[in-house]
Amino acid sequence: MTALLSVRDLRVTLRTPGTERVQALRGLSFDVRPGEVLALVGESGAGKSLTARTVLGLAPHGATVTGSVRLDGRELVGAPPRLLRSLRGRRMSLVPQDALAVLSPVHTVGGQLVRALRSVHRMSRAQARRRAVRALDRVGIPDAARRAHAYPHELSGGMRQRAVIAMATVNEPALVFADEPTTALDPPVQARILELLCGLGEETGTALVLITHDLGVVGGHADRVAVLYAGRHAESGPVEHVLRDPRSPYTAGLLAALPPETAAPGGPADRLLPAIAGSPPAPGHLPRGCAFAPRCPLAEGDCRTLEPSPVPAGDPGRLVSCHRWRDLPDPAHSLYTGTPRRAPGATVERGPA
Amino acid sequence: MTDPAPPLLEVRDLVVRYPGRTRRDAPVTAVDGVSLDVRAGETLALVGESGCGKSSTAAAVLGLRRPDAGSVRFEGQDLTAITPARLRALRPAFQPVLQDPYGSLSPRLRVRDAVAEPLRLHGRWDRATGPDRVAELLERVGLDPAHGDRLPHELSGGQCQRVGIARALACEPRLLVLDEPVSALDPSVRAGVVNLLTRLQDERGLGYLLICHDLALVRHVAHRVAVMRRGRVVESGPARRVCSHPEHPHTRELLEAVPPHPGTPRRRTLPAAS
Repeated sequence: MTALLSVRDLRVTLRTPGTERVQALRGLSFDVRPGEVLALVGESGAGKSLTARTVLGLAPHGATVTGSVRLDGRELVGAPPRLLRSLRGRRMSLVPQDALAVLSPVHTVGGQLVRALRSVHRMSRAQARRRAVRALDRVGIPDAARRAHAYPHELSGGMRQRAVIAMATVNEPALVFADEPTTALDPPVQARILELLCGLGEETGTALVLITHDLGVVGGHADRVAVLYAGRHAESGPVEHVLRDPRSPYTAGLLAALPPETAAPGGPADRLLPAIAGSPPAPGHLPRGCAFAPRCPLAEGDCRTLEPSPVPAGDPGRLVSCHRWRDLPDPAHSLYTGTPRRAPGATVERGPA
Repeated sequence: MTDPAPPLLEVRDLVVRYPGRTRRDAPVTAVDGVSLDVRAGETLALVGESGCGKSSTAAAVLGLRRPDAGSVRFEGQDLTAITPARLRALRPAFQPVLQDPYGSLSPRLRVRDAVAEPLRLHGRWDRATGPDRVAELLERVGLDPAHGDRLPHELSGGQCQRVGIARALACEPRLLVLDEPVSALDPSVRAGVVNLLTRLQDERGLGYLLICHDLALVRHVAHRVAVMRRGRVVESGPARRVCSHPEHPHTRELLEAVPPHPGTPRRRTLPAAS
């Protein structure tokens, strides 16, 4: 299948106050296929939001962008602002984290949708009004005709996020970025919003890039996942494979640290979670070699001098950026749980396989 | 269980009301008759959706908000009935750890001074031994004493949260009120801070009132759970029972929203091949 969006060796250098320039995205490549849900997972500073903003042509002021971003085969890096403006909202759009930040507080939700519609299509106000109500209805806002007259502050957090999703999808774009769309919401609302977002593709063929720091939400919702660390690719592939059998020590650590599904049986030791040591590097203060090496239990030699690039990792469609992915124990999370792994020369009695 | 110790914290029929939006509006009852206990060495998790009254309960427990009715007893003393001076003297024994790791530290105070501040405020600062005490506290929360020279913006979120915990520990508390202590942290450092809290509890028998919306985490670290909805506790009990056999529909709803552990294989509705 040809890619809808194709990002190659994307590098973004930011100018920060005080210090000189910081390369926040350091050569990222990925594809988004029509209709799929791709999860972009990473911690703060990993470059997830910057990736979305750069693709949308909304990189921060003073940023230098190199590499290639192609939407429908058309190059967007260095494209004239007019082209980007005509694509935003029509071919690609953004659902941000904070709905209040993008909704105008002084216009009704319906009015804002009408405006979004009429900026793209030639239609009468009444026509646009009907489409707007339908859009609100589609994202599960009850009594949409009445709610269209509501101002954002009159809606609950979940309803507001639905209204923003309606705005981002009303012109049926081919690609929607959702940047941490549910972090401000309560878990039951989160689950419903994620279902709504990820279900959009099935109806209209819209592809979704779901940006999140939470591997937990990825499992039930995404088709493929790309894990980022410190502005680079760490691991990517079909979601079930990556989550069940990670190939990068970083992904393995994130998974190991999630609380298990059953309550701790009792003893204090049972309540401890396997944790990755240290904290993620600040952009601009990266270690030499692999950025994860100082926290990685497998790091040695090469890891501290040579930055790994994505290489195929076994199964089709899987890439990993790690020199030592072949040495990951099985299961991978035992790297962090302290259970002995292939101790050299040790005579271990093995039970039946 | 043998002969249960008297609870560290006893909340009975707590009511907290806020004035309505205009003078004519009826007051909003945020907490409507909540009762709960926290024992030494035990974590009670308070869970529920935003607006259910968790944080208002915490504010009343910390003596930051006078309840409109009911009592809050800490080691037998009713915080709502004692003099302000007595309350101040008791404060070091119950300390908060807040959600926003940067927001809860002064941006202009070096880590060393931030940790020393509670000691100074409560008249426990000793010029000779104080610096050692601060270094010891930093080490206990997993920070290098050299971090003492830093300002909050020079630390990561996880490190700031550790400083916040060191501050709370400075005056030897017996109860910590943890308001979403890890939800603002990066996933790769979250487990480390959770473990720190667990170890501190086991070492010192601290009681924790944990406010948390992450039920997967609650299930793992809490001994008991109280589920709140619209200002009331709708279900409470041992964490294992409440999470595996929820009785109230609202508890069930909260549990169903917990994403399954992604490592375990499970059925998934794949998009129809087109």
